[in-house]
Amino acid sequence: MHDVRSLDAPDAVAPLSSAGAGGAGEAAQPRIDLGGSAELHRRLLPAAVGGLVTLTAVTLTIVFADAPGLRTWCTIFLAVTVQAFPFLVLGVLISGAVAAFVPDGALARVLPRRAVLAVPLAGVSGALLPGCECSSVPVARRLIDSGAPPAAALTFLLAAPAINPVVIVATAVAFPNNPRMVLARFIASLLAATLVGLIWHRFGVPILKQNDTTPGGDFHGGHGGGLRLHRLADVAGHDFLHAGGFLVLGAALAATLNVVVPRSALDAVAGAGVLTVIALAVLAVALAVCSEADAFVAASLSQFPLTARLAFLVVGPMVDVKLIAMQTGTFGRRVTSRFAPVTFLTAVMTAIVVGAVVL
Amino acid sequence: MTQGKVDIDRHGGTARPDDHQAAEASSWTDTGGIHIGPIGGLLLLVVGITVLRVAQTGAYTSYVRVGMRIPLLAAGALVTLLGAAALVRYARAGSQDESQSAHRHSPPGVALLLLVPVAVVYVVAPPSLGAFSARRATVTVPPPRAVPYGPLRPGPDDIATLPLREVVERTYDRGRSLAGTTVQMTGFVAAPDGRRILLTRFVIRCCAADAEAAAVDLTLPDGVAAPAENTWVTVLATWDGITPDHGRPRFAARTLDVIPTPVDPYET
Repeated sequence: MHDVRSLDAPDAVAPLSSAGAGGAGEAAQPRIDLGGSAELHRRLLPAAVGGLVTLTAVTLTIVFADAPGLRTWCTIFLAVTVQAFPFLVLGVLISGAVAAFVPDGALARVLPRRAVLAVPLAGVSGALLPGCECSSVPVARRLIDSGAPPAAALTFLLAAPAINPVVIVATAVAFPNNPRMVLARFIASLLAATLVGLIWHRFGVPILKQNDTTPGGDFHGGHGGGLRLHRLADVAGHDFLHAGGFLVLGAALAATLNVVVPRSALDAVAGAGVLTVIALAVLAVALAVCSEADAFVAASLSQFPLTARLAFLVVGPMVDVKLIAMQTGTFGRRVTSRFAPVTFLTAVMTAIVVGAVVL
Repeated sequence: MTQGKVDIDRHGGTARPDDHQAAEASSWTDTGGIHIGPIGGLLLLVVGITVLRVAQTGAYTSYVRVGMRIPLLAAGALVTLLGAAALVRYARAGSQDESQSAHRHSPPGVALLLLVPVAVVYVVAPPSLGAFSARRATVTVPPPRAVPYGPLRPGPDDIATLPLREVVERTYDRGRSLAGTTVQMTGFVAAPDGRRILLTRFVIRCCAADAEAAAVDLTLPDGVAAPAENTWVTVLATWDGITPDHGRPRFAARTLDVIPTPVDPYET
C-alpha cells in the first residue's frame, strides 16, 4: 500500500482523478482502484488539448497569413517569444542549479526565521538576478521547492525583474531628465514586492513544496558531480518545457491585445487625474513588455504624468498577461487568482504614494 | 493519519490528498520533475534548433534587436543540448527501466504549445512590422533630450545621412539644427496618397512588441509615383522648417530610390 502510494502520490491529487474521490481521507483508496484508465485520461487530456490548440493555431495561421493584421500578430508573437527565450533559459538553468547543488533545508537555514526579516531580505536579493520577469518565475518555484518560505520566494519573484542593475540602468537611460524616476522605481518596486510578501505571509493560501517523487531521488546525498549535472539538466529541461509552454500562451495574449487595442485608445484618458494611473497600470498588464525595455516605453508616453508612468514601471514587471499565464502554470490557479490582484493593487497604491513623495 | 504523515515527510507535502493547492499545481512536478521522456527531449531539440536557425539566418532581426544574436545562439545551443542529452539518456535507460511505466515519461501537456512559435517561424516567417502597424501608431512627441543634438556635419556633397528617429527628434530640437540641410533617410512606405507618403521606420528598445513609429510626412518629387506600401526606399529630402504640433514633420523629397529590406529593419 505504502509503496503504491509513494509511486503515484502526486497523481492522487490531480484534478481529474480526484474529482470522484469524495472524502479527502479516502482519496488514496479509489485512486488505486481506478488505476490505469484515470491515469491515462489525466495524461492524455492536456496533451490532446495542447495538440488541438496547436493544430488550430497552425491552420488559422496558414489560412490567414496574408491578412496584414494576422501577419502583425505573428510578428509580435514571435518577438515576445524570441526575446524571452534567452532569459527563460537563464532562469531554468538557475532553477536546475538550485535543485542540483543547494542541499535540502539550506535556504531555510540561511534565511531569517521571521518573515518580517526574511521577506525584505528576499526582496533586496532580487537585485542579484540580472534578467527580466521570465527568468524569475522558474527560479521562485525552485526556491520554494528547496525550502525557502513561499512569501519570501514570491517577494523575490516580484522584486528581481524590477530592481536588478540592468533594469535600473535602462531606466536611467530612458529618463535622462528625471533621475528621480530611477529612485522612485527602485523604492516603489522593492516596497510593493515586500508588502505583497508580508500580506501573503499573513493572509495568503499556502504554496506547498513539490519535491519530485522519483524513486531514488536521493540527489542530496553525497553524490558525485556527474549525477548533479544530470539532475541540473533534467530540472532545467523540464522547467523550460513547462514555463515555455505558458510563455507561449502569454505571448499569444499579449500579441492579440497589441494588435486589437490601438494605442490611441490611451489618449482618451491622458488628462484625467487618477484615471491616468489606472490606465497605464492596465496598459502594463496588457502590453507585457520585458522589464528591460519598459522604461523606454514609459518615457515615450509623455502625454501622461510621471506618477502614472511610475505605476506602469512598477506594475509591468510584477503583473502582466504573460506573467499571469506563467504563474498560473507554475503555482496553480488558486494561488494566482489571489496573488495577481493583490500584487496589482499593492503596486498601484505604492506607485501613487512613492510618486507623490519622490517625484 | 500516520500514513499521511509519513507521506508528507517523504514527498515534501505533495501527497496530501485533501489539498486542492497541490492538486492544481501538481503539473509542475507530476512528471517526477525529471522524466520529460522522448517527447520532451524531441520538443527541446526542435525548439533549440529553430532558435539556432532563426539566429543564424538573421531572421531574428525582424523581431528583436540585432545584439540579441549571441544570447540567442547560446540559449538555442543549450536547449538543443538539453534535448539531445534527454534523448540519449532515455535511450540508454530504456532497456533497464521497464518498470517505470511509459506514461511517466512525458512532458507537461502545455509544452506542446512550444510548437506554435516553431510553426509560425517555418510556415509564416512573418516580416518586420510594416505599414499596418504604422497606420495604427499614434504620433508621440519625442521626449526632450538631456543633451540636445549638436550641429549637423554633412558629408562632402552637403548631405547628412541620419536615422529617421534622429530626423524626427531634430525637428523638435530648439537648436533647429536640421533647417536648410538635405538629409538622406531610409524607411518603408506607409499610407501612400498621390504624391505623399509616410516615410516610416520603427524604433525598438527590446523587441517588436515595444516598437514606436518614427515617421515623416514626405512629398515626392514631381513625376514620381508613390511606391506600394511596405516598399523600402532611401530619399534625399529637406524639412519645411515647421516644428509639428500634432502631426508628422513634413519633408519634400528630391530623389527617391527603392532599396531591398535593410539587414536591420529597425532603429534602436
